[in-house]
Amino acid sequence: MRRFLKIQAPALLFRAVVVLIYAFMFLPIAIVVLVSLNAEPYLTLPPESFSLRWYRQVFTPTWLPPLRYSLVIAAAAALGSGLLGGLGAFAIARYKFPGRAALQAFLMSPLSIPSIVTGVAILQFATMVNLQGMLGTPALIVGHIVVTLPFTVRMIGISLFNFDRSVEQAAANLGARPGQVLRHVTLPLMKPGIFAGMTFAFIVSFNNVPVSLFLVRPGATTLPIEILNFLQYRLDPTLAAVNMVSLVIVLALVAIAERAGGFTKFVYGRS
Amino acid sequence: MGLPPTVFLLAAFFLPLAFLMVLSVYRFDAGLIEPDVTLENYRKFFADSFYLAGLWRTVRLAAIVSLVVTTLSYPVAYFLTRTTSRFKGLLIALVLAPELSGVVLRTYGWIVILEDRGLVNTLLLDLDLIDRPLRLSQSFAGVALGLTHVLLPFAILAIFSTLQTIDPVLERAAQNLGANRVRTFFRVLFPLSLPGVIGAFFLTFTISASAYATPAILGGSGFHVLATMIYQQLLFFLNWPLASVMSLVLLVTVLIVALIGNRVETRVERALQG
Repeated sequence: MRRFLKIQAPALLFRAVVVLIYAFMFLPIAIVVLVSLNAEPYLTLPPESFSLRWYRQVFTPTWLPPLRYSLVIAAAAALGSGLLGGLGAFAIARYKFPGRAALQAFLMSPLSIPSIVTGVAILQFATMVNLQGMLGTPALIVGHIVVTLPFTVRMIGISLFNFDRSVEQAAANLGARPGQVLRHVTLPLMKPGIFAGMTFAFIVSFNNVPVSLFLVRPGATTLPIEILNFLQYRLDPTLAAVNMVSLVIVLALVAIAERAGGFTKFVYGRS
Repeated sequence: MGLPPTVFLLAAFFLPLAFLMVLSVYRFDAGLIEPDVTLENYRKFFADSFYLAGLWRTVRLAAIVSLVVTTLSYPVAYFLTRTTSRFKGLLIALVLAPELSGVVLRTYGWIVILEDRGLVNTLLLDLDLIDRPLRLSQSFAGVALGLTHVLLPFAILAIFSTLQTIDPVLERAAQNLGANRVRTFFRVLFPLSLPGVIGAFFLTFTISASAYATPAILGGSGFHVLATMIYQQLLFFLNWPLASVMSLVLLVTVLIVALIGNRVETRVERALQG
């Protein structure tokens, strides 16, 4: 027994702590799953009967437009962020020039500014300099590109640092012109990073609250803001179903990105 | 190649930020914004105990949350680094999953658990442990709990990515030289991972100080932190200059804390390199 306490107990305790923290992380998500499938408006544990009635409410004119709008904004933001972030990452990784570190810091700077301040600043700027026409869709896309740019720069950067430059030299030695090397060698090797970065940007934009909060217009609201507005007043289980639908979309994207060349390794990887 | 993203950020990010600073010194008079330079908005913020209490609540909340989050993250990050399980990839993905599910979904889950007629209160009432529902949501503790949950994945991944870079040979060497597990941990592994821990602490501080959704929903309408006060000034009272001042106060708070974090991190790293 004493031997057990000395050698096994700490290891078991450590395991138990880790399991508990994992459980804590999944508790609210599991609850939302249960609420969305529960037949009654109030959740009792264990649920007495299940139904898909709340999911039917998702595919109605209340929730489909914000869902569609969020998808469009996220796709546009991911494209813009992937393009600008790809150019930035390429410049940082491939060219030696004075101020390279400064460029890196500059492109990462939106991360150190609270996103809510970014949202406020863009709203005030667009309104005061008479660019109200920009509010709504254009401002949302621009704002989301700003806050996702650091992620695409970093994730595409990882794919650039991790690859063997000699492959490019080999292609050049075999007579490929610089444009051909870029198109047939460099870009394909960067693809996993670009894809992972754009997926991440898509998800950050799709879930975004602090920037969208100030830039949506009445009648054209993104899904998280619409849910937030509803949440202030009542707890309708339809909200749980809506949340689940958006989670499934995100998880499907991650699964595709993981298959296409890796996703998680770019999220916690270091360049 | 670096030009397009630079120009984009200058126009879409730095120009609006500069404009925010300008607006903070404009006069707000009877609902109109006049371009006269004044420090009135700053005076209004720093002379009002209501606003100062909001600032203090923001800092206190962020400090508590980041301390708890960093502490809870370490064991998980350590576990992920050392596990030899063939499900390691899956276990890492599982940490990432809550982060991907968005803050709104998780806040919703917490309301169902914490509200007056929620799961915890129903359970405690059924067990006759309490007579009246506990005030779990609409409270500081509820907001802190929700934020802790939101930020755990960030901190775990930050600490994990540092722990990964530490050569396991160092630990074995310490043990071969006669140090037991606890000693090895506190004398070798933990000091080496300190930069990651400090980074995680300050990262979570920044994010929780600027969080909007969790305080707004789990805190209820009477709960004020800088983020919710900014929202109110901007969209209800339409006092944009004051909203600018609050935004700048939040920005400066976060930057000061980040600066301290950077300093501490460099010190620790320098000390480690001996």
